[in-house]
Amino acid sequence: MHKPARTLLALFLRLLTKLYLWLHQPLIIGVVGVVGKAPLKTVIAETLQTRGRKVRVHPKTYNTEIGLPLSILYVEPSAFTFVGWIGALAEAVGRIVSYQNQPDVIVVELGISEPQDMSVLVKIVVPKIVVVSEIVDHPQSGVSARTLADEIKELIQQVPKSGLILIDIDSPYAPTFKSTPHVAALQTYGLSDKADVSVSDVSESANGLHFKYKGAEVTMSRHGREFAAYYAAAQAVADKVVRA
Amino acid sequence: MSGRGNGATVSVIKAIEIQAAMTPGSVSLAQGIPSFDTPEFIKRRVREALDGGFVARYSLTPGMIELREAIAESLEHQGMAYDSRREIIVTVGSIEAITATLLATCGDGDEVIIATPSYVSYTQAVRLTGATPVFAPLSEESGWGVDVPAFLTLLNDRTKAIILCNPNNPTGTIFSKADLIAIADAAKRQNIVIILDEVYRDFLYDEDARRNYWSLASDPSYRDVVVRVFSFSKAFAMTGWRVGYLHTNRELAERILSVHDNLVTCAPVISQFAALAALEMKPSDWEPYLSEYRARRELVMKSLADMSPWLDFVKPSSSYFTFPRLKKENLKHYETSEELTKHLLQHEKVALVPGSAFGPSGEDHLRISFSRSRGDIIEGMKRLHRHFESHA
Repeated sequence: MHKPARTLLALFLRLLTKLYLWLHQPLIIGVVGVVGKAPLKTVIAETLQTRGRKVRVHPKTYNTEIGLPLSILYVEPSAFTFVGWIGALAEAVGRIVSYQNQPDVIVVELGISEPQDMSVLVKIVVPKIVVVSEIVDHPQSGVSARTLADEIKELIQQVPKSGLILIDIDSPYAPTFKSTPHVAALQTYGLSDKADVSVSDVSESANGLHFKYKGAEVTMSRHGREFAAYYAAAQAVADKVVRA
Repeated sequence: MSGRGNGATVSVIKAIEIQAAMTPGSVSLAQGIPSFDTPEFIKRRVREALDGGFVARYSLTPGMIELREAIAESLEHQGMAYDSRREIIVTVGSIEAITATLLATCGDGDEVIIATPSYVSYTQAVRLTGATPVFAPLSEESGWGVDVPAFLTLLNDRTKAIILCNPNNPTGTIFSKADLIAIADAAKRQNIVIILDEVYRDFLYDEDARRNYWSLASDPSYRDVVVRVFSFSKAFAMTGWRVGYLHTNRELAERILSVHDNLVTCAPVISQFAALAALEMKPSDWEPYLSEYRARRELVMKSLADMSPWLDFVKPSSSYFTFPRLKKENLKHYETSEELTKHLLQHEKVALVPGSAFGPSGEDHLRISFSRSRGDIIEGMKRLHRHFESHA
């Protein structure tokens, strides 16, 4: 797509997204990081659903300047042509004006791979709840973890006072994030008992993960200890959403 | 010169394609290459990655973490749970996954059981390790199912691996859950690795096929022995992109990873971006393709029915191949399936794969691919029919 057309499209999508958010007021939960965004997003959405919330998550990994609005508006162009995009925009308008089947909560990813990416995304939406997953040097863009952490700091500063920021206690950037000026509540999550929200006694069997959360036994039919940490984060998100 | 490669040969399928390419006016129903182009939304994602400067660098050896996370999520939807960081490896097609697994688990003096007829390259891959392929004939009388008691008699102290392609190439058979479990239970007792090649799992043409298809990898009690392999080549028309994956338990994944690293470093990153997009394909996106393959299958079945004096066939439940048996008694001058396919290419200019390429049980059969366009299928079958009419 030519740059002017892309710029125009991004502007349209941003305006439609803002209109949608103003009219329908869904709670936006944003997952940001380099590794683990998708599984964390899934666990959060599943947890919210079990707590009875109407949650929407776009099935595609749309998390950029163009993708994030598509994710919020829950549309997808039928083809990446002029006609396809017109169709998507029309569908977006339809979703804005309809009051049926609107979700309470929308969980999105914020994709950052280069400096300045976050400044573009926060112009579209600043999530009320932000969950930070693992940060490493971006394997494809080559941008350093430190630079990407700086991007996330920009987001942390903008989360509103009524919101919540959850950071991985095991991240080497946890101290940096904690010391970043912020007005929202900030909590740590993870496997360590030093985390504000944690799980314990994590073990794995052929059937998945087993651990304890607030004294109760939990089994997740997933593999990878990080899922236990995601569970903790998702519980904290769900507690916040229920209180909101 | 000596070396393990001395025993390896270019597969019969590829050799036939090479010959067909050099035969002007030929129609090939040999190699299983989808006639479709890779879907546009996959190509678009690749263009974005390319323009964004994301494809130049190596990925992590087991593959882009984003892709492995997406694979893990896709597996969960299929009832399989695997750790994206430690139990999934993105490979250069399924054949690299299979070869790396064999190299990690087998060596001189070992044996690998291969169901026959089965994919040509398994035998070659086994020989590359120094192990010996041992063939377990499928039962044509039962629609190319497994003869479990006979299969299990082949297991001994030297058996290190079993290769099962389910749904099977070239027969299109879907193995029953009971048969798979019987084999897996025996494998587990003897610590034999089962390499489960499920590259055709999306090609389930009817309700029976969807009901009968079951993956051994969905039962966690077999995690210790199962290495499941999948490829993006078939359902997503990505044969040229060379990207697939395997998943297995942590310990085995670590061993395979070392081999994979030394073979290829990582799968092509540009293809990994294509795979990432492919995983976002909805079932409704796939349905038109499946519908077209189903129609092509019917075309071939109808043609084969018209050739019933010379061929018997079992309608495939899956894949895009059919494997008819030649009625030798009604064919003048017939010697072997290989000679027949040579004659067909030379004189009728139609390329098919001789059944002998798929193992001992494949002799006196032909493999016909309906992955090609309808036009190619119609013309190819017409030429085959013409041959039989003139040689009956």
